[in-house]
Amino acid sequence: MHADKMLSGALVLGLLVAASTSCSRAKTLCGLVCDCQHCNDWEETQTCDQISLSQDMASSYSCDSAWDAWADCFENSGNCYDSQAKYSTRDLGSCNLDVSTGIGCQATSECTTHDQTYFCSNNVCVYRACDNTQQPCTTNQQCGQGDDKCNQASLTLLDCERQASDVNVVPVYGEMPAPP
Amino acid sequence: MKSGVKWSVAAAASLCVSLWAIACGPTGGSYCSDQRDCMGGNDQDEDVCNSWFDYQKDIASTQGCKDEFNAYFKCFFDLAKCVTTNTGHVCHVKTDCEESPAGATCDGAECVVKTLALQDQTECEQEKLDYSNCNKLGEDPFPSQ
Repeated sequence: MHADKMLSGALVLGLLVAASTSCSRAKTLCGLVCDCQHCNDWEETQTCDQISLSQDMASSYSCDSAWDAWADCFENSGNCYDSQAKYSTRDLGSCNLDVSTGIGCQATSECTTHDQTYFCSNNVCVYRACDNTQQPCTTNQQCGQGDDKCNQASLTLLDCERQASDVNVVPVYGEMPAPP
Repeated sequence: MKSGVKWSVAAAASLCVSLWAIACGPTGGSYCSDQRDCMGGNDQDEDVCNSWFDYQKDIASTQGCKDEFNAYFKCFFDLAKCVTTNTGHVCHVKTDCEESPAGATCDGAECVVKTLALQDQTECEQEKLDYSNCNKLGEDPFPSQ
């Protein structure tokens, strides 16, 4: 009887620890995103709920290890792009490179006669370019995104869920959160 | 025991739907059970539907749109029918439909998507509008044809 009580106590404790570990994993990921992206309360709840949903979905289909692998990748391969306030597992280009044209100048007005996008910096006309492609740009969006480093982990997870589902239902209820 | 619990939950869910106006509010269980009857699926698929429904409710609640969500869902649940849409893809087995929209299955020789949906854009129009005005996400959780 005493042993039974101890066993059930240990089981309850084990379940509590398991539950809190799995909750804290989703919370860790959501913290990474929201610390970087300066989420307000509403955005934080939405981000956390979305990650928890993906974890619950994976768990329903017994794809926990595939979700863990994706979570590892998301946590370890993601970067916070401070200037864009964006957490991503892609290499995001930034429109922040000044490329010299070789044309001397004292003021920007001397540069815009050559091209409206040129401006004067350190006595040389320069134009703004993407730091990844060196192509001229005016916004970060024009610099595009590199490949998702967690693409394989995402596909493995999706495949596991598809195998377990009878109706390929996963995307109906929302795919796992795309890397922000 | 497990099946007893399941039946108790099912009975509670049915009772909840019947007594909706009194206390219970929307239940993902009833919705997901009907969705399963319509589109097919296994127990895991129904679990996932329930998680998805809870997520939608949480999001609505966080935004202060609980009442609008409940009203929209009640209207949707009352009027939605199981709708079948042909995707235009030919198939012999289910896997032939993997390139079709999500949820597609092989029925006869054609990929079809079956889902609970409103028949007409005007159905639940006001409830949908109230919810979308309140919901900052701008997502419509319930489809119409």
